[in-house]
Amino acid sequence: MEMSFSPKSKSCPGVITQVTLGFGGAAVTLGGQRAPAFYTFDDPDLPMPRLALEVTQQPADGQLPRLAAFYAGCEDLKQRLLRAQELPQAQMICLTVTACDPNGENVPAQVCARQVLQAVETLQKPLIIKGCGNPQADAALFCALAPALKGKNVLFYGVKADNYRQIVPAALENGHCLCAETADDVNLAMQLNVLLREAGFPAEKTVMDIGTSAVGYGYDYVASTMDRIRLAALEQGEDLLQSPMICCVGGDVWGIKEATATQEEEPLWGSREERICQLELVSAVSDLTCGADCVILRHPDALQEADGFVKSLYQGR
Amino acid sequence: MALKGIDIFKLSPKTNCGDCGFSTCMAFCMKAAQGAVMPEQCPHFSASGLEKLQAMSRPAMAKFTVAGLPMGGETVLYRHEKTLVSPNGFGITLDDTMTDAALGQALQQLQAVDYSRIGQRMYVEFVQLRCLSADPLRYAALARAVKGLCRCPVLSCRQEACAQAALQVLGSECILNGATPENYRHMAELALRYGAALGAWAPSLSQLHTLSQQLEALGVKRILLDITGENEAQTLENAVQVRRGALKDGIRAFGYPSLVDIAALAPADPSRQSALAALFVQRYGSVLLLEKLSYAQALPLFGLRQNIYTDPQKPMKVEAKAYPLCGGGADSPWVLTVDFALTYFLVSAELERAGEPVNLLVADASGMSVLTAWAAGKLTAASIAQTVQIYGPEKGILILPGKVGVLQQQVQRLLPGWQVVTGPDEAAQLPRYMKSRQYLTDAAQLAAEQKEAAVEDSRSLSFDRLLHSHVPAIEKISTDVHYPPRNPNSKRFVVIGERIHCIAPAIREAMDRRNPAPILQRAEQQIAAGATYLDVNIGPAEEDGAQRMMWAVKLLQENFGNVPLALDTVNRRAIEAGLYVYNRANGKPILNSADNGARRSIIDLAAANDAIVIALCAGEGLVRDNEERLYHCHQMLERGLSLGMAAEDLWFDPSFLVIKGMQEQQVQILEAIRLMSAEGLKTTGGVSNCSNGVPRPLRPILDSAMLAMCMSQGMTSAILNPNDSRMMQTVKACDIIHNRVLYNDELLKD
Repeated sequence: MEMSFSPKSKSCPGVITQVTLGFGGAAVTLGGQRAPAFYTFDDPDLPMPRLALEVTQQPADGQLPRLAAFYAGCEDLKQRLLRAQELPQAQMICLTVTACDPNGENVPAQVCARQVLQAVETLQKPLIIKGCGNPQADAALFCALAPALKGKNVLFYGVKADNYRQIVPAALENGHCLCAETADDVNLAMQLNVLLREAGFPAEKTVMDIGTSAVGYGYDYVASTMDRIRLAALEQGEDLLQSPMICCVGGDVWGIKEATATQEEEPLWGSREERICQLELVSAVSDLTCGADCVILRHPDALQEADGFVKSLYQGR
Repeated sequence: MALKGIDIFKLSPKTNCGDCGFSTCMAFCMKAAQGAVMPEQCPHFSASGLEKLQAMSRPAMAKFTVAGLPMGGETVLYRHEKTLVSPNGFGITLDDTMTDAALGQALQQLQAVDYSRIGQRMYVEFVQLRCLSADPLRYAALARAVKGLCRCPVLSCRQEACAQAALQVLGSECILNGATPENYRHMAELALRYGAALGAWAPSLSQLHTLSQQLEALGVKRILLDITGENEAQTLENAVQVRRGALKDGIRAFGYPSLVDIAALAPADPSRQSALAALFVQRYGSVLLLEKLSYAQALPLFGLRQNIYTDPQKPMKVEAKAYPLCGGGADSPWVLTVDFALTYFLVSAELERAGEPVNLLVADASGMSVLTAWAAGKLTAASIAQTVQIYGPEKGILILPGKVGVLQQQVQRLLPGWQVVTGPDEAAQLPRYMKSRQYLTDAAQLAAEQKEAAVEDSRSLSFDRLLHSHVPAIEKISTDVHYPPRNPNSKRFVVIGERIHCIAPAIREAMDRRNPAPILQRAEQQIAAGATYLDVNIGPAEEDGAQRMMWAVKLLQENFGNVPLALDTVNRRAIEAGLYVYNRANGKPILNSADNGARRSIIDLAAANDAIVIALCAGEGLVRDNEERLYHCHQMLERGLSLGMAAEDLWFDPSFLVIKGMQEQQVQILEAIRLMSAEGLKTTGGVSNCSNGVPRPLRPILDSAMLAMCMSQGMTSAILNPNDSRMMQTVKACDIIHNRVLYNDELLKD
């Protein structure tokens, strides 16, 4: 017979860099973990991951009754942002700006920025501004917004190897945070962090999006990339990978077939809104399990479920 | 059981005395690992070594099946470390107080979720039967209700009489989840009597640890650890402590698959159950029991499980067939792609974005991407034509991926009823291409061009005829570069120059047009830099491989003093044609390459023609570890020797892997070279594969260090770019340090 067993806790030499977003009493800190996600038995002081609600420029999809009910009565983007802010479980608000996409509406950056500023002016919760994905359009938008949002410590989401040189000075001068975005690859994530450091951008203001996907769509690569990044950060103390990880679950999920197919197209699959919520929830939980420090969800019901799940893993702590 | 040849080898005498009947200790140990011989058959194996072997032969985690479902056998905590082997199962819960109507509805929902995703069946594998009534008759009735369902029952029942009643109905292929520290003797006795797997639960991990050993002592082999705790947090802790304990700390009693009663953790809360299921898919749950599983819950959970449990080294494949998109019918255009799942998802998403009715035609390419499949001979004109003939109509418009546009004419010839056009290089360009209907314009233009005379099929001609009628006269260039006469028995490191490769557009075009200049220029540069052999890659060249290879061999050897060559193609006839004109003055030809899978017969070709063969230590797909590498190595060695080859004419390629992505594997490759060298075998390989994806200026840093480390392990040759001066300096320096070349200052100057 083996000796009797007593549970072991395992400590890691590395720690995830703390990054504070927002201002005043509503400011939120990401990072600070010294153990893998939810391993409170390894680190009793393990900080909780954070949840953000995503608001898009387009009004809520009328075909999704629960989403439409949540935003009922909102007449413009500003009101929808304020409604999002009222959701107690949403610690941050993410505004995704797609109008500046040159392959879409192609609204000039200055015009887009004015719309955004007008919409976010009374928000109190920390703000994430996510671009359209086009490096040049996003750089122009962020540079236009940065001075006007000075002091609000906003997170600009969409900094890539192609546009960081333009964005870094504007963010530095106006005290904002940046999210470094790369395709799903450990080395690329590390490389972009090196570039940001070399450009003088502080680790304490940097988070990263390592290129996630919806579960079922290449999530094998995602899980392994996130696991490897987190283990390198914690176990090997690799400081270039110690930035908090953030995942835009809404963007990953809403475009896949399981989320877009109508009930008429796939009668067996049931309600489309229920599918979207489940996809967001399961993808968010998977991201969190792999070490995401913040997940951004688009459906408020999915966010509330994710919140309940996170808290259930901190019972008794 | 799962002992590796290398582990046995470490404990073996390593004398290669041959008393066991095998030529080397390694060969004997590999056989022993496969169970073909017993280690005791070696007369010199030490007693302490044998004892250690016995202790080692038990894997860290037991592996077995229940109702045909694989369980356990994991060796790593994270999939990137190697792979996870036994996908978790999902189950739903029934109990014996349910009304017939409720039971019927639950069973109906259970069976409704059953579909196929990327070639795998997605369905609920388990049904938990909770015993609430304490009435054996009612519990047995519930068991009867699920008996013919082909789902593995999990009897959650700690009461002996009830459990027995259900077991009598269900027999062996189920899990009796009922052993506790109080009742374990009875439950073990029941599980053994009916042959069922046994689930064990205890209020604490230390009690579970004891309980597991007690069950083992009673002879129970198939044990599952029910790690469900008081709440979610405790359950996760249990899951991690148990798996981590088994795999990292060698705690034998925890080396069993786990079972999580998610239904009990979050009753009547389907979303919380989904969330927990997602957590335990990744964190060490083997059987996950929910209350119910709707389609909306199943879609993401099954997708997640499929991703997590794919082997990181084996690409996910979709089924080869036609996929109509956006209402595509037989008259719509047909877009061809390969079966690599990511390629498929990318291409299908872009086609759906385009919104035009279309058929996506997926060809079997062994799960490789387009260009890789083409280069490996897995995507050929013939295989494309065959795919079209099987899944497509008699005629139509076929759009090839831009990256294999080179195949357009050949495919067109094989499919006379079709209009074959070349589409864009990248999936992202598809929406514009489809919407603009550019393929129609292209097809019309090609049809006009097709009026030229049909090309004579040269594939049945003899090499002698071909040589005289299809190989142009060899042009001689004037050059100061001469290949120095070489002693084929020299011990110097053999550099096989890799630059004459048809994946380079300039070379591909030169080969197509029989234009000697670009080929001779690269040959000249490589020989000047000190290449020993030149690799000649002509691509698959299905149509005219033979004359192409003859021309290339003669061109290079006649211009450069019979420089020895490596004939590099998957086209067998082309290799034979190359051998027909090859001059051996400076060394035997090398055939590049054989493997232990589809290209095994290249070894036979080498044996029949007294050639050297590069033998890639792989079967189908990438190798997983050194166990596999050496297995393939010995299989191919045996084949070569049995055909009368000398061992030194088989050059084993350990199969170099990318550092970015497979960093953990690199020391394994070095170890493989060491082990093969210790057996006196020769080794080679494409060292610079290791730096794929690294920015070009940085690649020589990694490549040269890798090369030096490989040479230090005994590597005898490499396929590399001789015009990478850092690489050649490394070769020279290492040859000096190995005392194969006498030192002089000049040698190191460029």
